[in-house]
Amino acid sequence: MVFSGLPFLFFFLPAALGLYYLAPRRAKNGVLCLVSIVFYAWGEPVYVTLMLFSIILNFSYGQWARRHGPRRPALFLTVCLNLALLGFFKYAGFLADSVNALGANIPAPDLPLPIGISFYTFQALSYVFDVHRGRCAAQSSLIDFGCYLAMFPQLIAGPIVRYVSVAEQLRGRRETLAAFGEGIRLFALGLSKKVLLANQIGVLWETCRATPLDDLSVLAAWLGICAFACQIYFDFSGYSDMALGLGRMFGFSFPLNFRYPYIARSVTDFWRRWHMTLSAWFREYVYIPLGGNRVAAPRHILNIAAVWTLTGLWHGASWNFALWGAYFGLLLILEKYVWAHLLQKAPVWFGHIYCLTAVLVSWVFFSFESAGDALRYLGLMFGRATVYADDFALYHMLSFGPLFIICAIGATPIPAGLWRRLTQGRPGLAGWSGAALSAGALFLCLAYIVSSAYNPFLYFRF
Amino acid sequence: MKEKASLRALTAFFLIFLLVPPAGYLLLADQSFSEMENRYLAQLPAPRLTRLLDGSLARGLETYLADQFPLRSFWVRVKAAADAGLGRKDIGGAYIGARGRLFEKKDPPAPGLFAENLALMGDLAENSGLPCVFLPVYSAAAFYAEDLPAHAPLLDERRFMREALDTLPPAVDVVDVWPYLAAGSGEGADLYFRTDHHWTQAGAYRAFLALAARGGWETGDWQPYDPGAPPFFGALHAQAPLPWLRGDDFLLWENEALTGVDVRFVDTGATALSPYISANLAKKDLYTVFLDGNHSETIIRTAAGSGRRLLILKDSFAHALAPFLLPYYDEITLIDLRYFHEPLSERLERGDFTEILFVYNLSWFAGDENFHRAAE
Repeated sequence: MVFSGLPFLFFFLPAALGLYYLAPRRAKNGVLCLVSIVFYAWGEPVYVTLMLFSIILNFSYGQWARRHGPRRPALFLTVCLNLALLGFFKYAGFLADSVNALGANIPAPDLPLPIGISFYTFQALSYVFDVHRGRCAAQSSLIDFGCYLAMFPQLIAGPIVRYVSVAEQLRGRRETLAAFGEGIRLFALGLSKKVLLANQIGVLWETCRATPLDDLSVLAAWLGICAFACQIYFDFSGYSDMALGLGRMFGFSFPLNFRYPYIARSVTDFWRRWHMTLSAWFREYVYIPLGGNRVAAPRHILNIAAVWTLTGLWHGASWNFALWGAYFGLLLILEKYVWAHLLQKAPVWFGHIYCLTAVLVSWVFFSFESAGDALRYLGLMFGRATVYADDFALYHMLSFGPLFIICAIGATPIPAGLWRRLTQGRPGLAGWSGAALSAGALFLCLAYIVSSAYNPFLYFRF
Repeated sequence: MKEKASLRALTAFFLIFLLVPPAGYLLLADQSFSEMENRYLAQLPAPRLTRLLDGSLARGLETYLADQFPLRSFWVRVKAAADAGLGRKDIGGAYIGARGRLFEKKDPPAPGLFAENLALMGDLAENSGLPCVFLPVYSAAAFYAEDLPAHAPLLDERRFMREALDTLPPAVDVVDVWPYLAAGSGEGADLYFRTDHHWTQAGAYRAFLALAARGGWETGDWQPYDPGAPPFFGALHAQAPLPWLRGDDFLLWENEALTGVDVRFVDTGATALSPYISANLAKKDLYTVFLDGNHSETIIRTAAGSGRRLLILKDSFAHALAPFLLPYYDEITLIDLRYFHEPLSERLERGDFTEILFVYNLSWFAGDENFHRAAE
């Protein structure tokens, strides 16, 4: 089920909210766990068993560790089982294809990817690691743990909520009118990002993708990849906002996942702002255990390369994602060891242009499965096209111009800052204008949702 | 306290927002057909365990909810208006032109298909041994190009026309209606509907003048009249239902030759006494008033007494044109190769035709994947 779909908005969500608020306090986590499982089973009735298995496996590890203390073999076994599930369902086909490319002939399993498996496996691992390291107590209630792992707001596309950050909220949270109102505002904001911006600008990217590469002009290639950059940002951050908003409605506070990534001035800065919960996970559970930056330079470089290839592969089981991750790893190493000082001394605008260009180039690797096509597309962007601008590009620039401007401004802190400045010291105005904007946004989103069957979440693949 | 009031208001709005549509589903009856989209709507799927387990029940329910959303056409209009307000130059595959015009946004045809179709047409003409005329019909977007959005990518129909003139054998006489359309465009009447992809009968009349000039015919006295239909909102309006667009005037052209004709729709067996089907004046698609829309084969018999029998191979642009040709033929047979599945050679033998006319929109013909049936 997707948040921007009719079954979710008008059947699941009202039912879930109704059951949750009618349930007595001690049954609330059970209700949330149950509706989350229904949410997951809606489109994937069979794979819900995987999710249930993951809940039981990782809960059992916690119980075991509580009784027997942190033991490496048990940890190793649990982690391996988690990774084996993820590996089999996400990477088996990819691995088989890769080995077959070298001349072998392994039958490649052709399984649909269980939705959200990358997200909930990582959440489960955060619990397992943190219990092992004594960062948190093992959860004693299977229902509370199931509620944590299956919780529908962040089940499908994050944020990746570490167990330690919600352990207390599982027991001691309180739902308030203020939190509920904030939840509605966040949900409306996220839904607008997804439905009004990402899906719409995505049409332009689809149009460019449908055009044979030979027919694209330089301008069209740039328009296309800029549209993709807007689409993926507003899609993913919109989904995170909706998750945060829904969490607030049920009394939870989830960690922020995006902080205006496109205003970053370096790639290092970009990754502190983009999908922050994923970067934090890799830092906490891979990079730092490998020694982080407190090791000799060659080892440090190796650590960065390892983390970023894994980050790339996390995004999808195909070589272009590994390449995409490695590309960022390389840039981060270069920023650390080669042009750190240059970047610091360079004017602000240079940092912005450098970072945006680097990120746009990365999206080319991200979106083309074949490296050959990605390189050809990059060639187009940097002048290897038959023409610089054609009617196709000019027409679409005009047709999507206002939407591009809205996306560009919307990706910066300007609108939020402006709103804060206008309503500063006037809580009444802030409340009513926020309510009116949210209501208007929901109304408009509904028009777009009803009008369009085109509603795939990009991050479903991960 | 003020904050609390706005919070309450927002929460109340949100709950109403979530609960009104489900109530609407329950209270409003399901629709079976959407006139606007010209398609049947999804119905509530039957629950079956196997369909539940493979996820197809969920997908079916999603389609059902999308198709049956309460006041669906209202929301579609809001979306179209918002898109246009945001500066989008095309909606749902229709360009938003100047002066309230919508234009069809066409994908480029498969390369080489136009040349193939022209070759087939040439072969058919040569093999039949009959006098053949090709009347290519320009799209509204080609004719009213100045009303298109700036830089709108467009199929070059003038180039298609040149290709037709250059490659067709002498057995096919190509009639270029452009000068006749251009001469008529100053007269005020729209030659193409603003909200539909077809031409008006005023446009078809211009093409008739071109044919009459070629054949040396007396054109007779044709006058438009208003049959009293409501404003016409055509197929392009369904694609881009902008609330501020005006419907088209719908006029029929009249001449005494239209009386005493006998129209037979071969596929359905239905008959009519006029090429104008007045029952369809109550339909949303008024263009179906002309010869009842698409049929695989339609035969019109007249009292002309000329001894000439015409075969028209055509798309729907011919429907508005055919009435003008009635005074000159004893029998006119219209065949639409999209729906006609009998071998055409047999039909030609049986038909005893004296002439063949091809009436096709250029962009359509350039991408027509059914014309190969002309060789069967």
